[in-house]
Amino acid sequence: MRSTNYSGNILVRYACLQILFFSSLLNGGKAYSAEVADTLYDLPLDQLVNVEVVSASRFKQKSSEAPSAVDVVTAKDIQNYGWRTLADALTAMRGLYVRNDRNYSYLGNRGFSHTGDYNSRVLFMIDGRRINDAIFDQGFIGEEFMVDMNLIERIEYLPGSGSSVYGGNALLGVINVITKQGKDFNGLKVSGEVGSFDTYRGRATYGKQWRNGTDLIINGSRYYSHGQEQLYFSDFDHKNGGVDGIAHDMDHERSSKLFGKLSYGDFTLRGGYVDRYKRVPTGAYETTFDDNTYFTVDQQAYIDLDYIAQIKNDLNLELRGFHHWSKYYQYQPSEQQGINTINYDTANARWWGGEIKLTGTQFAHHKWILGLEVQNNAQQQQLNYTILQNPVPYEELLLSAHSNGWRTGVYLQDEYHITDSLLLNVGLRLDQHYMLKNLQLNPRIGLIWDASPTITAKLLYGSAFRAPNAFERYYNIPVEEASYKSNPNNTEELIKSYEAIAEWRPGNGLKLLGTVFYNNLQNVLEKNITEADIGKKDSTYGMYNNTGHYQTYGFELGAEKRWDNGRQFKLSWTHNYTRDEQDDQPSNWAQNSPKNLVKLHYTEPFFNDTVRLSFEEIFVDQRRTIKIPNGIAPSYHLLNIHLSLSKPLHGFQPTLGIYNVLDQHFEVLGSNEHKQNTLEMDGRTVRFRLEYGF
Amino acid sequence: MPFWVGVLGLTLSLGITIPKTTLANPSSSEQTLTVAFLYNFLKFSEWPTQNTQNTQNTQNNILNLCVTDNTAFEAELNAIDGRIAQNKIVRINRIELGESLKECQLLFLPREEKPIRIREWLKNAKNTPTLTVSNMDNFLDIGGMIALIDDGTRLQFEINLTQVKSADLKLSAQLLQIARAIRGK
Repeated sequence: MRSTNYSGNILVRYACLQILFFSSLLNGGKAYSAEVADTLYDLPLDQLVNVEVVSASRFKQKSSEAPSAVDVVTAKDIQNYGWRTLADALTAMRGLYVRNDRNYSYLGNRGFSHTGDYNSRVLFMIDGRRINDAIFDQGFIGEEFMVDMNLIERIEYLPGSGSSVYGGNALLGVINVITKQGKDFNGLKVSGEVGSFDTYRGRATYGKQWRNGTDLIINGSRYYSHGQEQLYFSDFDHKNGGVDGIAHDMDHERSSKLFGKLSYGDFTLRGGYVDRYKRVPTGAYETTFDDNTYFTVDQQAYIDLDYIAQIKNDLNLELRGFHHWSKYYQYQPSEQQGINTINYDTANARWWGGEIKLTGTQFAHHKWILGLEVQNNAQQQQLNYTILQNPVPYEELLLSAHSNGWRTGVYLQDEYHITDSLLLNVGLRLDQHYMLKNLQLNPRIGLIWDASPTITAKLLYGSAFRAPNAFERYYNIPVEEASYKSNPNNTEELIKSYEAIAEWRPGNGLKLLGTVFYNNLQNVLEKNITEADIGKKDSTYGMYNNTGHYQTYGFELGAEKRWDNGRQFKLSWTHNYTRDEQDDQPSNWAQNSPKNLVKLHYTEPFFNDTVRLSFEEIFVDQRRTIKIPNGIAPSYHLLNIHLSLSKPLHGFQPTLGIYNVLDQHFEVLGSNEHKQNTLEMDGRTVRFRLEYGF
Repeated sequence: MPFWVGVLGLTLSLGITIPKTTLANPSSSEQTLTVAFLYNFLKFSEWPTQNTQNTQNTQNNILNLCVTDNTAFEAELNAIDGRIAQNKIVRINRIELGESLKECQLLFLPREEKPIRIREWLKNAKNTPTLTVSNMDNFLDIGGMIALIDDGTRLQFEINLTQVKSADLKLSAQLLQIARAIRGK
């Protein structure tokens, strides 16, 4: 009976909250956060000591104590450099590189980027909550990412394996996108932008914090890009049996996004939705080239309810529940024996779960975290059928795979301050996953030593796993020419990563960093597409098998300096060698692995920091291609220049960005589904945005 | 529906009660409250006027609140920038380890700073009449003057009067009265 009352209580509370919001919206409620704070500053001291503290931050980790070589970009950086998507921002971060095949964007980490899967080896989070989908483990980083760039407070990238706290997928790193609060907007902001290739975006954001601390943020946006009118692919021109090799109006992209966050007391409710349409111009998967019925749609939605409370002075509790939905579908036109067919491929998923996390500081010099995480992949549906209109309407079901299951993880971490200057961070996590027979136990150990007030050294070791996803396990097309076969026997991928880091902050806004790392990634799931003899396929042809093995050795150097006047300089260099242990070539240099990544960021303020001019220069070294095994995609430079106002002028805030200023038609790799060995990217583009705040 | 049941189940299984967030009780984020305390410390402290090193600011009618570059709450600090305390204008100064503290009437050291760095800051503040405040644990033990302490629900403060006096600073009687504890005489 108690439970009924209890749930009723919560529902009533939320109903009341909603009424409260709308009524204050109607009143044009003036209880802005600034006012709340203002009255607080004028409170006499004897009353100040009686003010209750909300939102405990005692349990936040210092980034300098994180067992990782963390890289962070902030809202200010996003504003300065004009990054349009999460992929743009990630491109700017140390050790990361992005490949786009005009369908999705794919992230590479420290010389490892495996084509043919969808960012499944990186854990993506919004406000610390996993958002990788439940079929492909996909991390969305292009227009299909549901948080608009203006809502982002901070992006944290923790390279290395992080299974000990985060569970599966955190093989190569964790990317955490932290969203802003309503008080950061304090009113309504609308913005419109126009860009090259008929690109438009409209956006509205409303944010507010009320006197009682309630904080609301709502953001909605629409995006449309016509894209290039003509894209030329030589693999489809007349020399190669096609017409002219030009894909006409095939680069369309549209998206609609909605994101909201409501905090009240110890509760935070988040929700998001995205719907994105992309035409695919590359003729991938042997589809009819230059046929505008080839497109991909991705839709995702989620809600997440958090309860974070400091139960006692030395004990913090986090409780959360979440529910996600995702749908993907793709229409692929093709011509078989003179008959035009359309293949419809779709995946629908729904998953929900919760987490309990306790953080305690009762024992001197120790901070412990104990957590339990459960997720029920309630629906994982993959369908594929062929549709024929002529000569007779006809549908043939090729795939109907349904699966579901639970994954559970228990983790324990302890931060032990051995002395003032020596910190030991030990984590251990045990996972049970419905795709795997065995329990997964993954440790992480970090030793962090403050050698002096300005020098910190870190030694890290960690391991992580990734279970096969529903796509790798169950996707099966029983047609001779299609190369997909389900594999009930595939199992987890494993990584062991080792890293040594030195950070030096000599003062004057200068920060220097050096790291040496070694990654050993084993049992990597790879689709078998080798043919024993021509036309003769072996029994595991088309299956995802645990055959891959990669080792990466490398180092990183970084320098950062910030001046008081707003000037900023950041330089990073990642050098690595990634070896494909399966490769019998004399050079077993892995595919799609640039040995060098260099990133330079520079912001110069003008007119007493009212105007900022920012330069971004990204160098990506040459990469070995896939379609032509010893082919090379040449190295490239990407130079972007962005002009912005640091504060609105009469409510208006215009920005102007010129991307790929040098008009380099750089190339990224085609994957197995492509005919193209490399795909040429857009040249110089321009974007203008005007924002107005009410 | 199973989702909500799940969430509620989780909540219930721990038997946690939802705290009453009544609108009448004043409540605030820890950041805002911390800054409110710092502002009050500026109001109720007295700096030596004869000190040649410090005369410039007092003559210029400015009270400098110095914070380290690791202090996160920028918006809250900016909210008191330009306010008046003791007929002087409060200014927020971000400074780095190694920089001179001569101009700083108050130095706030957030617990986000590492202990080894906080010790270094305190060492640098030794010879200047600068009021040192921190929310780190054991701040008074390592030579700090005012420690902000989160007792789980409220923010309190404790004073190490020996340190305050040795820097030629004076704290008002009101401040001493409200302090949760005072060390030294």
